Order: sequence, then structure tokens, then C-alpha cells
Amino acid sequence: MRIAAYHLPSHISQFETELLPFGDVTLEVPRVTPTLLADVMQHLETAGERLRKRKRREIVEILSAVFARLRDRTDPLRQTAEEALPAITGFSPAMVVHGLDLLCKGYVTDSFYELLQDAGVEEDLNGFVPRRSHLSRAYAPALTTHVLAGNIPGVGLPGLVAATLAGSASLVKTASGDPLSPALWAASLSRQDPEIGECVAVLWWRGGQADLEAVALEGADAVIAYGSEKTMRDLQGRVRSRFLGHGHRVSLGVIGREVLVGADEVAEQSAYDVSLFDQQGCLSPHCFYVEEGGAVSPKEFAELLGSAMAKWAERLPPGSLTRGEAAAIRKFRAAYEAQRIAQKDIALFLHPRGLDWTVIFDPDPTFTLSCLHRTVVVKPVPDLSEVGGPLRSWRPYLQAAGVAVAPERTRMLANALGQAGVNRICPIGKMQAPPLTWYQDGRFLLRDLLRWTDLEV
Amino acid sequence: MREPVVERVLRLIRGMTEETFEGLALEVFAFQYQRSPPYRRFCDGRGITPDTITAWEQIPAVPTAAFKLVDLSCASPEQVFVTSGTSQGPEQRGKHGFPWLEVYHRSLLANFAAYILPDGARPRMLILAPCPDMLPTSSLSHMLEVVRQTYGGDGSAYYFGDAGLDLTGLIQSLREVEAHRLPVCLLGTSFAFMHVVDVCLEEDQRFTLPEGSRLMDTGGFKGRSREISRDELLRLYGEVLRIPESFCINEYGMTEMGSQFYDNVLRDTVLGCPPVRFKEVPPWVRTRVLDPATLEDLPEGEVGLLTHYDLANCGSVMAVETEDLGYKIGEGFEIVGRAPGAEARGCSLTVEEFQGRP
Repeated sequence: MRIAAYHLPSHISQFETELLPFGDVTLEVPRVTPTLLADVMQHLETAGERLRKRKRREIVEILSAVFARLRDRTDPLRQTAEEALPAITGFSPAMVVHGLDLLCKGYVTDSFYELLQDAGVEEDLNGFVPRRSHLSRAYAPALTTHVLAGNIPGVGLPGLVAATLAGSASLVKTASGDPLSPALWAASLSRQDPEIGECVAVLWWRGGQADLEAVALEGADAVIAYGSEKTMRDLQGRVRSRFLGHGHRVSLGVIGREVLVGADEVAEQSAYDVSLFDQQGCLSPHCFYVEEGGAVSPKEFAELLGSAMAKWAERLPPGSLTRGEAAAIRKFRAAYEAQRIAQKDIALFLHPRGLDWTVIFDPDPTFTLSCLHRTVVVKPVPDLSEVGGPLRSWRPYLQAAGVAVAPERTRMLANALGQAGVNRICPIGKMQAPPLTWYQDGRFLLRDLLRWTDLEV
Repeated sequence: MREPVVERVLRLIRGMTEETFEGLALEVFAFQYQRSPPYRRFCDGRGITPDTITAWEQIPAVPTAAFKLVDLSCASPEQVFVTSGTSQGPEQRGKHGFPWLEVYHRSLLANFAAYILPDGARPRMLILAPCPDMLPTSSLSHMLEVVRQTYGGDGSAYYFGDAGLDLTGLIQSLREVEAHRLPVCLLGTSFAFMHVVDVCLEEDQRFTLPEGSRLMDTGGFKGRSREISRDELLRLYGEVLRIPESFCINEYGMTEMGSQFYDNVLRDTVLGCPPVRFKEVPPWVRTRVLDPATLEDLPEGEVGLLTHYDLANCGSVMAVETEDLGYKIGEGFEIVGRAPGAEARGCSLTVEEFQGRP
């Protein structure tokens, strides 16, 4: 299967292409040159003016329609995604289908309006509006460059949607782990409204090409980037305009003793959060803190979690592992097995033969980074009020905490977790489906993109 | 009084044909299961006892990580070797106790003689590593001292002091043997040899070591300032020391194992076979290359995790699962390095990124 994995302004048709093989799937991408890129960016800036002239209401309707069609499994673009993404991303076909459904679910009319309201730009961005004793006007970036990373489809979508809603044209540099999804999204935007489709360009090039990066970064009014801390630092140093970096993050789960009467269900929801996207996401939990004194002990919970992981491995089979990834899981297990034979109170609950999933019970309260690929550690805590302590040194990296506690304890736990640096606290089982209005990384993307001018009269 | 099974292992190492690896492996396993409580816990955790298995491949292999946490000895050790320092601090060093050092020595000497001295030579040994007085718990220092005492010719000596490598002394000795046309055997870590080669290149020193001179290096360059390929290192040995490639032997050993592995090239050259370089496995050891995903044997040439079954480890655990990657070739294997960590695929922080941060 050969698929075009790019989206360019309609008048650009003269360019060389190259092929990216992913097993049975071959992606065709333009061989990007500084000249081509500069041409694309100039076109995007001009096209963006038409985007800003449109009513926000129209943009919301277009975006809603785009996602509605992508939710439909008979839609040709959706079908392309379903067929090609397993080979490209390494996720199993069932995971791709499930992930796409989950992804599209949050992008609905109401959430787009909420996003605009929260940013204070309910009205169109084409004039000064009263604010307290003066007037203010928001300006969107003319052009936002999105530097994407990783293999999880949809990681860049909040930024793309925010930029489009704000009235900014977008240049997307796709990740080697998934050059296709953003191109399909842009194609579906063009299909819905060709004029708005002209405001988005999607390209892939091999990372580390300084001449291309210089054009992409310097020609934009804002840069939204995803990737490692090192990449973030490197990009930030080269961006003169607004830089919104999303480094790699870690998440965790917290379970109160009172919900362990229904431990099976909690384990099922916990296992779902771990298994989704094979634990590759920044919202994927690395470990679960389980309070002592409940209907089942934390160690018994770990065993139940193992059984639930087995069920999810059947429903949403894990993707393929490289030898290096498999070796990393063996090494992770071996370190705990060594502790077990040294008579530490360690328990391992493992897929009977392979590496489909790994649950470890470890009484050490230190927060543990998992080697991922459905490997999770359960740790006991005497009382949930103590859960913030082990997290403190992880503050710069903390993302979400999935929690299962009685309603009257939620606020106490949220205070402890928020103080520790967690920026999203949600029910276990919902960790991978954040609302569009979430303050990702503790910030508000759409508002961060805008620039305001105050007029005092 | 040594156990009968240990005597039988000794007989196998000494080449007595009534003993075989296959014939002894399960008995050694049963012995270790009985005598090493941590190993018994390990096997019980996997649901394996001497009664449940019928082939040596089913013997549970202990990860090297376990040597850091627990004493696996089957009897009180005559000697405990400790792995060299790591960034994780002294408490994270692996310890390996040998209740019967004679087994270690027999394995070492039989193997060393076969692969480093196949021509029966007894050359002067120039050793580029600390002597056991400096590093009493180092298995490498112990091993080099045993071969020096057993096989070393007149003038064999260490070129390593409190200040590190004694380059001046080494260069002086090399000039001396060059003048007297006496073949030598250089022994040391790859890192030490790298240093010698670098200094010689910088000072424009070249040696033409007498014919029959040989070199055994061990270990890699992980975490060192400079990493070079094996081929490049062999080329440099030729350029600086004039030792032909077939007289340069890499040794692969680890504190967790009683036996070592050597390149077969010198032995094959002496036997008149065209040398194809790989690590040969002695008759009292089996090495498997396992797919980390399934723990099944990989076909020749495919890279996987090395797991060794070493009867010279009869005093602790014979089956050791390493973190080393290698592939099967001929009657042996070749090592390609440590298992790399997993790269980030998605947007989650990974152990590799976290450990690699400045």
C-alpha cells in the first residue's frame, strides 16, 4: 500500500518525492528543500488571512464536521488510517481502531466553544472588545510551526485545533514515528473546506537538518513542539518567537483503600489505562500507589491487575517489540526477580510465556519509571496523604494521576497531587481521554498562542 | 572433602571422556537447587525443581543482577570476587563466591592454554592490569596472576602501579624484547591497550615484536572517552606492535562466571585451519543466544541475549542470564555489546532519557 503522507498548498506541484517504507506500507513524502519550505510558509501566511476573516462559528462547524467524518469507520480517510497505522506506528490493528475512536470523541462542537471561551476569545478576533475599564484585542499568530514527535496518533491535534480556532495557519513537521496521521487530518480539513485546508501544510523531513529547521522555526510566529527534554532545549534556543514545548512526561495511578471492595473493577480500569497505546503516552501510568487497609492488600491488587492486563492484552493486543525493547523488559523483570530471591517482599505477575504484560509488586515507595510496553509497578502506601512525598523530585516530569477514591477524599488527594506537580487528576480508566480544555503541562495552549493588545480610553 | 558432583566436573574439565556436559548439567542443577537457598527460591518462583525438568536448556538461568543482591554460593567460599565499580556505587557491585577455587583454576588454565598458548609457548608476560595485591577481589587480577604463575616465562611482570599504567616501564620492556628477539604475551584490558596505542601513535613509537608474540585483551569501552571498533583496534595493534591479527585474542569473561571465552583465531592458525574469528565455547560450557521476546534460541547470525550454562560455576549457579547481546556463529558466538535501552516511541519519559539527562 502506497500513501501520500503530506499536505501542501494546492498550487505547489513541482517537487521531488522520496519513499518511506514501513513493512507493507510505503509512504510518499516530498523531498523538502529550504526553497520549497520557504515557498510553503509564504503561501500559508497569505492563506491564514482568509482563515482569520472567517467567523469562529464557521471554523467550529468545519472542525466538528471533520472529526464527525473521521469517527465514521466507513469514511475513506479513516479507513486509510486504520489500514496503514499499524505498520507505521507498531500498534496492533485493534489498538489503532480503538485509539482513533477515543481520539475523535473529544473533538466536538461544545468543546471547541469551551476552548474559545476559556481563552477569552468567544467573539471573533477582529476588533477590540471591552475588558474591565479598557478594551483588548487578541491577535493570533499568522503562522504556527508544529514540531511533532512519537508514534501516538493525535498527539499534535490539540495544537493544530487550537491554532486553527485562533486563526493561525499551521506548518506541521511530522514525526518519523507517524508521518501519516497529520497528513490525513489535513486532507480531511481540505475535503470539508478547501479554503481552510489551504491554511495547513504537513511535511516530513529527517530530523537534524539545520537549514530546514532554521526556515521552519524562524519563519513562524509561534512554535509548538513535542519531544525529549534535549530536543525542547535545543529548539527553544533557536526560536525567536513564542515557543510552547511539550517534553516527555510521566503519569501514575492512586487507589484508596475504600474502593478496594470493588478491586476487580478498579484493576480492570487501571489495566486499561496502562494498556492503551502500549503505555507509550505521557498519560500512561508507570506505577500505581495502592493504600493499605482495604478489602484486598496492595499485593493482592497487583495480582488482580495482572489478570486484568491479560484481559486487555486479548481485547487490545500489544504491538510488536524490537529486540532492544524486549531486552529492556527482561532486564526490568530480572532486577525485581533478583530482589525477590534476596528475600525482599517482591512479587511478579507475568504473562506466562511472553512479554505482553508485566505487573510487579514492590514495597519501596520510590516512584519508579517503567520500561513501558505494559510494564507497571504496584506500590503500597499506608495512607494516601503521604503519596506526594515520593513524587516531589519528579515535579518537572509529572503529567496525570488517575485516582480511585471516595468522593469525600478526592479534594485532599488532589491537593497533595497538585502540590507535587501533577497537572491533571482524573478518574482511573479515563487517563487517556483528556478533555480538549485540559491545561496540558499546566498551561493553556490556545491562550498561550494569542497575543493581546490593550487600549485604555 | 569435595562433593562427588564437583569431582566429576573437574574430571570433565581435565578432558576425561567418560564425563559430558549433558551428563552432568542436571546433576549440578540438582546439587545447586539443594545447596543454594536463594537459587532454590528463584527456581520455586518459576515452578521448576530438579524433578520437573529433563534437559539442561530448562535449567532456570539467574540474571546477573541477582549477584548484586544475594549470595548464591553452595558452600562457604574460598574466594569472593567482586565486579568492578559502576556508577551505582559499591552496594551495587556483583559478588561471586567460589567454594572450590580449583575448579575455577582448572577451567581457566585449560582454556587459556588452548586458545592463548596452543603452540605450547611459555612467553614472558607483560600484564597491563593491577596485580591481586592491588585489587584482591578482582577476578581479572586473580586470573592473570594464576596464568602468570603457571605459564609465564622469565621476566613476566605487571605494568600497573598506584599511579595507573606504567607506560615508561612497558615501553622499555618492549624495546628490550624487540632487541633480544624474545616473543612476549601482552595481557590486559582493551581500555589499557587503547591507551598504549594512543600514546605510541602520539609519540610516534613503533615496535616490531618478535614472531610468536601475542596479545590478549578483555572488555569493551563502554562509557569511556573513546570507542572504536574491534577491527580498528586490531589494525592499530598491527601498526604499533606488529602483532598479526591472528595473534590478537579477545577474551570475554565476567565475575559471575567461572569460565572465560576466547577468540579461536590463534588456536586455528596453529592447527593450520583458516581462522574465522569468534568466541569458542569450552566443553564444560554451553552458550545460548535467546530471543528476548520468547526466550527461544535464535538462528545463527541473529542478535539476542547471551545465556551461559557453565559447569565451572558448580559452586554457585551454573545458568547465568546476562545483559550482553551476541549472535551464534560456528561452534561459538560473538558478542556485540550490552543490550541498548529502549528508545522513546511515544511521548512518555523513558528510563534512557531520564538517566541520560545532564
